[in-house]
Amino acid sequence: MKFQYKILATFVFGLLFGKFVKFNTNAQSSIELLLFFMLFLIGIEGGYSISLRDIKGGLEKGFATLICSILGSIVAGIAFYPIMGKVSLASAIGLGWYSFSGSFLTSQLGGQAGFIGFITNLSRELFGMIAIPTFSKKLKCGSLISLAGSPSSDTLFPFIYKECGSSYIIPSIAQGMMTAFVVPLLTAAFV
Amino acid sequence: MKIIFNYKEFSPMIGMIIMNNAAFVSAILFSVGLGMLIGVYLKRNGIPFERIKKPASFAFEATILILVFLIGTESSGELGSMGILLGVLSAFLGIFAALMSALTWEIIAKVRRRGK
Repeated sequence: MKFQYKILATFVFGLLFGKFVKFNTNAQSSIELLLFFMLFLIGIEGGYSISLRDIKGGLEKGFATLICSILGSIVAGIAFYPIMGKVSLASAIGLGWYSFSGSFLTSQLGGQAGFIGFITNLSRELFGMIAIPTFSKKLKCGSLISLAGSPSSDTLFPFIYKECGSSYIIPSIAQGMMTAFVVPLLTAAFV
Repeated sequence: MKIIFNYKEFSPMIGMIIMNNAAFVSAILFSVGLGMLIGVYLKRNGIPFERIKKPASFAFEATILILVFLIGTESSGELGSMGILLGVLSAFLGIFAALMSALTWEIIAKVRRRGK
């Protein structure tokens, strides 16, 4: 069974489980703990194979992927502008950071805009989980990082690492870190 | 589309969000950094990576699947409470934004390759 099918099946199972079985766990903190464990595992291989020169080149590549991610999102926002109005740009520029986008747009434009921002960015992240393993043969690794957007340094990082290897650890993390500073400013600018 | 906004009103909120996120970002850097230090230690001491590669990749894949499962359970509550049409439209916007981002990189890479 291919890995992306396993991911899809696991996600659907998780959705159904969350919908029909009421259980009281703190999933958010479990997700963060697992994430840190995974990043630790990735770091071990990174330490084994990354040099200082790779770090410098990686930061530049991370910046370039971020620019592509922003440009692509603006184009998508403009394409949906006639249907959804200005909220399309403000939510597309969230680059997959749904926790920020949802809460920020709710506070500035109301509940419906917040909902759009949340779903837009959540779907981008979920799409990344399927798209990165699926398109890894057809697209370059830079494209995969641009596609991931903000989660390239957290939830989608393991997926990028699995497809692109240790040479893309630094660009992936660098892009995620930079989005943390760029996305709030851009979202506010498009509100 | 209003590009100019009131910085006095927005900046405290943006600052707060960045500060909250800074803790998470620091934790990410710490996890990766600690892993890297161990990786460098293993390399310097001549311990072959192959010895830990198999259990590490098994743990890695298992962790991804548990993570996806938990994200699924978290998402189920949010997905149930929305208007279907608006939700589908928003989902398409997210997917389209992701695809356009990837396409932008592909186009720039192609243009740069042609320029060389």
